[in-house]
Amino acid sequence: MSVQSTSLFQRQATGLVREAGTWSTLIYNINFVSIGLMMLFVLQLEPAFYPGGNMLVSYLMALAVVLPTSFVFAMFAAAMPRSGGDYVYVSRILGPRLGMMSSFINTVWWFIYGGVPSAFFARYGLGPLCRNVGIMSGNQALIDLGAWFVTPEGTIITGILLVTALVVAFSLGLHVYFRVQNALFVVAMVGLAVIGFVLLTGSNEQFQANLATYSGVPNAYQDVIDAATATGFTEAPFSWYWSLIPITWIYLELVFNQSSAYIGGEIKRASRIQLWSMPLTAVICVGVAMLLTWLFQQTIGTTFLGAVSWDAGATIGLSSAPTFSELAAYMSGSTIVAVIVGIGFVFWSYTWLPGQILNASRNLLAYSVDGVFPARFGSVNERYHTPVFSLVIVGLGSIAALIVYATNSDFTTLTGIVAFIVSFIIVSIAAILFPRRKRDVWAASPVAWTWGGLPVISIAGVVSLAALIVTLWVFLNDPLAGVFVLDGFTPHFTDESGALTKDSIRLLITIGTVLSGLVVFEVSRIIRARRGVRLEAAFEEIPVE
Amino acid sequence: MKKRLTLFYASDIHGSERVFRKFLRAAPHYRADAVVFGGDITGKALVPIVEVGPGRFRGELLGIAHDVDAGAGLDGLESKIRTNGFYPYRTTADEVARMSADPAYLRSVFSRVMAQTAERWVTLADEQLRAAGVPALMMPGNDDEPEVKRLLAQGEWIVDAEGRIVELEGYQVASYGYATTTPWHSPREVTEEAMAEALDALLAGIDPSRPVIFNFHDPPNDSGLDLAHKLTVDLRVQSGAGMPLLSSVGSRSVRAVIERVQPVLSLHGHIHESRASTRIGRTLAVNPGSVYGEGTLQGVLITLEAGKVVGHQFVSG
Repeated sequence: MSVQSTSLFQRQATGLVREAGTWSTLIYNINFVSIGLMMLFVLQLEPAFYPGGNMLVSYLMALAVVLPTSFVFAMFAAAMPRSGGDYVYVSRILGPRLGMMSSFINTVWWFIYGGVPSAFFARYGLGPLCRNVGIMSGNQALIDLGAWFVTPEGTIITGILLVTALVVAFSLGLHVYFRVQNALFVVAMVGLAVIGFVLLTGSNEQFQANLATYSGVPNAYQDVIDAATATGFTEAPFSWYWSLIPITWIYLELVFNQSSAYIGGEIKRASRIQLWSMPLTAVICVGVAMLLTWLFQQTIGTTFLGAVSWDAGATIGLSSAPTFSELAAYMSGSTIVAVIVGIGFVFWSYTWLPGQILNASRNLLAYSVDGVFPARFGSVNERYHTPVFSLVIVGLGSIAALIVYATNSDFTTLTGIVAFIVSFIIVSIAAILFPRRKRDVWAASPVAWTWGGLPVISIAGVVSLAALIVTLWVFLNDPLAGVFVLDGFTPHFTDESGALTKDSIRLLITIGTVLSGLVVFEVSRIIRARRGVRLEAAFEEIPVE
Repeated sequence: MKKRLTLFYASDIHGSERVFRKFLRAAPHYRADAVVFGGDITGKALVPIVEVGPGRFRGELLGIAHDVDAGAGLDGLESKIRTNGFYPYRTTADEVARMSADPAYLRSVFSRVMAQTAERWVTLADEQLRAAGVPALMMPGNDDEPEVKRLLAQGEWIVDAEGRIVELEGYQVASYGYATTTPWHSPREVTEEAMAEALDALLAGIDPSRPVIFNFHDPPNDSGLDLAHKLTVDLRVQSGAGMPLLSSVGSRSVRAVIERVQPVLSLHGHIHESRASTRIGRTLAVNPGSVYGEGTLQGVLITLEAGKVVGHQFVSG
């Protein structure tokens, strides 16, 4: 390789690759933040169930609490580009037990959350697509198929097929899958652009007229509002509190902006693409979502958005609340638009799942290499170069979670994010202590900045920790999060009869998953010690002097 | 044969002084009986530190300019540069300009700096490992210039094990540090055919009745120890949907001799991102990977008893 600059000369040696470009790094990260799902939850839930909430303010608040953690991950990725995530950061800085605890939280919930997007695939992706196209084209078979997709049976069967297809695709190698995924990502982004165009060129009158036509209800728009109001739907003046609480639904997607932490090059660079791509991803996703949300408010109306979700689509003959892509399709009056935006939304509906399966199987492989898990989990298929055993285990776990999620309403969407927050708290503490515990590594890194004499990564860690504590408080105060055990700062763990509430039980289960990593590590340590192996040695730093 | 032998194996230190010093202390730290180094001792990059005034120096590390005075400041900057696996090089603005303009001159500077460092490290290794009484088998890798082999051979305690069979507590260790062709045209590369011939010649000297250990820099093809990032023609990592694409780049010849000879243990490096172990027939093959640029020594502890591997543990120290 030739000379790069007058500040760093490289010779011809293996492994000196060029960095991925800023744009491609951004795309990788945006892939993991489902803009579509983020908007879906906000548009369906906030105007309906958080009276006084302002969706645009919620987006900004969510961004404010996500960015510090994003910077922490970005700085770690710049300082330790080849390590591949929090498992190694935390293990090196805080020790293997906390490293395992932090990482295992993610692994457990990637297993469990395997059931969520695989259910969303039918519930929010294929079901609404078929229903919408069927209604707009007058095709009853498609309408019936759409209705079947959103039944528990349809959701489970479709989800199992999706998980199986992904596990098989990943077991055979990633190349074909990535080509398909990249193409679908383009379709999904085109879908959002089409929605933006439809909203920009459409009007409320046009929407009302088309809604009446497709639903067969002459005054559908007002009827929906009236029906919802009659059953308790209400609006309220702007409230900071009720704008803050629903950030849970935005945080659910936005926090996963750090996927490029896993694709660092061997030679640390000054360009710091890693550093900026993660927070920039969060900013871009929020920007796109805010723009489209504002357009929905301007054309369709916030009151209707809340009412139609509260009414769950009943007044206009639907079995569940319409997605925003269905509303945009109604406004366009075009079946072709319905197909484009519907297919685009299918991508958004399951976009987490591939990353979850890959990340969980990669973690199992890493635990195996470090001796925490049996060697079987680390075996790589010689023909396909993939960890088939781990992939199958993750796939089976995802299917089990799918069945529970689709059939049991006690499994709420947001619960596990509380566990992720604990993991991020541990990472933030590692960031605070990084310059003290690994001074040489920090001082020699491209993020060895100080501000007011303090290491910037430590400051970011403190801010991230504060933001995470606020977020945790928000989750525990959100009536829809599934872990609603606080009223402000007053705990309410039991109901009137003194029994633990379902929310409290879910919180206890979540705490159990947080501690499970410690248990796994200790059990493994004891087993390995009997064979003469010191598991603690796996991450002990050798003193240099 | 020693009843129980614990080996510490690492490779691909690539000029990181901090990691090399950890390697020298690995045996007492992990209670290993011997250490084996699998090649690629020299660094890949050089950071010029320009004297901008009497006793005043300037160097740029990872985009951050450092102006330091001779003494502790300069030593600190050089230490940071070495931690990243780069060579600090005190120079002048004129020489930097010449290095930029003249590739041949740049190569000569690199060779000189690498040789100086390797020579110093050999002395350090001799001193420390002799004092600890730890046998040490070393060899150059594909990224090491031929001069490095000559310097390793000058070691009084450490053994340049490449290209021969070395006895280690009853085990026959066969070492070879070349790699098959790479996109970078590194200093010590051979074709698959030449690799096969060299390994055949090397293994002609083994006694099949006694246990054998391979110490080959290049990992076996299709083993999971050889998964490198798939690259474009301009050496960018190919990725999709947030994940780097991987492809198998190990040596078919290495795999063939492992399958044929079935050593008890086969030690490999070269592919830094492919930290893994696998079984090829009865052989345990390992690649501990490398993150030398982060100041961390990745290695593997292998315990052998009665001519068999009874356990192994990857470590990051």
